[in-house]
Amino acid sequence: MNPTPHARAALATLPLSFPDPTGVVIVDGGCDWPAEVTRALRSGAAGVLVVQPKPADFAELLELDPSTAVIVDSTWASNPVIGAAAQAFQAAAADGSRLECRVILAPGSDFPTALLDQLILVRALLSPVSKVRVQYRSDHGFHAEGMTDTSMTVDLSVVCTTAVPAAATVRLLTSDGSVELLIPTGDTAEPARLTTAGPDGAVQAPTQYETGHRASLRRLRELMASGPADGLADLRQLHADVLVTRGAQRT
Amino acid sequence: MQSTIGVGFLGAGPVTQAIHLPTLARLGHEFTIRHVSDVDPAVAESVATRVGATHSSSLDALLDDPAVEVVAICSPHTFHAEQVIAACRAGKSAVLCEKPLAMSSTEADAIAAVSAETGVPIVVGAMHVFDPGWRAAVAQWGELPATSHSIRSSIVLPPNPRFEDVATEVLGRQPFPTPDRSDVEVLAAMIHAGVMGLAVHDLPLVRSLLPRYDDLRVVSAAVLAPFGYRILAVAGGKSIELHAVMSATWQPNWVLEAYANDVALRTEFTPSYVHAGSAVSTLTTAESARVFGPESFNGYESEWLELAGIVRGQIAPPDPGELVDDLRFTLALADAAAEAVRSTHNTEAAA
Repeated sequence: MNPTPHARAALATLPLSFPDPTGVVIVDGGCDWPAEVTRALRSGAAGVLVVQPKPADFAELLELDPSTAVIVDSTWASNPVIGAAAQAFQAAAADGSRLECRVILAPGSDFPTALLDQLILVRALLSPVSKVRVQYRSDHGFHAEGMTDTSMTVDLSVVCTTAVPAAATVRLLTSDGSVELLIPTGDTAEPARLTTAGPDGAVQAPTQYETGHRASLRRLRELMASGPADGLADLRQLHADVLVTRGAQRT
Repeated sequence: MQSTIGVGFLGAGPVTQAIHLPTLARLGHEFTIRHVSDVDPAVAESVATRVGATHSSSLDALLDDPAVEVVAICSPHTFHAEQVIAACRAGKSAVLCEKPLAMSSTEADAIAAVSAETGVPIVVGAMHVFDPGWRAAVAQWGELPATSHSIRSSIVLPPNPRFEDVATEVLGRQPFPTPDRSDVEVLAAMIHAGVMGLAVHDLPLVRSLLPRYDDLRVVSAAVLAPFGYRILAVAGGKSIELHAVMSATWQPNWVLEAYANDVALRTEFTPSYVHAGSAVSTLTTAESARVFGPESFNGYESEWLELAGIVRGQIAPPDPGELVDDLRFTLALADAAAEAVRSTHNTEAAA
């Protein structure tokens, strides 16, 4: 299902932040999105939202004028829980040995995109993943192992089914507890669930009924308002994750 | 013949004390503990005294006791095979052997042979196999064994005393050794023990979802801290992920999942030792979810009740061939995981 219409609908929920929504270009990441982003930047867009981009070659795009804000609206990492979740995962990281990132998707999903979305998520929560090795792949999913820049091993997996809704689950077990995050797809406002367990009990973070698309648009608005020193920073991080994704596909 | 079935325990450690004695206390209408044997005479006497049973420190004394109709083998794994065989040859009514049934294929062959020769029923105490929350889902899972493509077992456990100490008052608990993780053979032994001691609980369930396992391949295996494993394997065209960690957490989480394109099964088991009811299984499709359990009794109680039915001739005993196949699958996985740990270590050392 194309998520771009959901992103366009989310724009209508921010009427004061974007009084002139025509200045915002929403790009479908499923097509030749680098060309579309390039056109938007050259035509003077006020801001650009790239919705769930597939892995693509866009090194030339990064050479363009960085004064325009571009935000990557990623399947999992755009969820509004990410800020609180990143704090929880980073606080537990020193005491955890291995991160698990498991994703449920519909059969027929594009695996390179699925892996890229996982890398973007792990980057947002903890640290960039600098290398990935695919351990097993079939028509029904894959298992891969990665290593973050902070030397934490990451188990990345995708299972394809229509039996349960698409979702990403991230878990970090520590010596005396855990941090667990369940993120539904960002097309509805169903909230993510962040639970931190420690010696004194378990705490669920307050739920946030906001779609990932709307959270991305708020981020775009903030970046536009700040007059970004580097409006392409999101794309630069995406590019690094695309390179890791492509490296993994070759192993 | 006694009105209740006489039970003799070989091994009176925490599993006997915290699991089987409290379970049989709930099943007094079916069983009476007649004899407790342990290599430590003081432990044997103390545990036997609690239940008014005879005690000893020898296998022969227990097998020679005519009041013992069912032999429950709860000794260290390495003694299981010889004790199962001895109990069968002693002509007992049935044998309940704690998992694993044995520690090698040779032992498995010997057990299969003696079972066929003597006709003594053998039940392996893999309690999750008997769990009513699991069995109810199995009865309704339709084509899942054929159509499932991804299987995952995840076990997170607090230290055993958290549960043992509310199930009984344990006598003679052994301290957990501190392993030398710099030695690859120690790591290989740890993951082998992890499979034979922990993954073994769910491997018969996993095998029931596999069309075959003769093509089993362990893709990766790692020992996790403080104690645990992560094993990725492939068999019968399906991926199998086994993940377990025992830590200082208070929060147990024991889940088995299986996914097909259109059906998903998730079974959440209660922790061992305590009687916290059965597992809860959920069979889900895009349209609906069916929930099975919780029942008020767990797999331990079910396995003993099934044993009673077998002894009384009301239930057919398990096929020994299936039990041996469960063991072969477990051994193959344990051996391959240990080899994968060695291989990874050697590759990293060479790099």
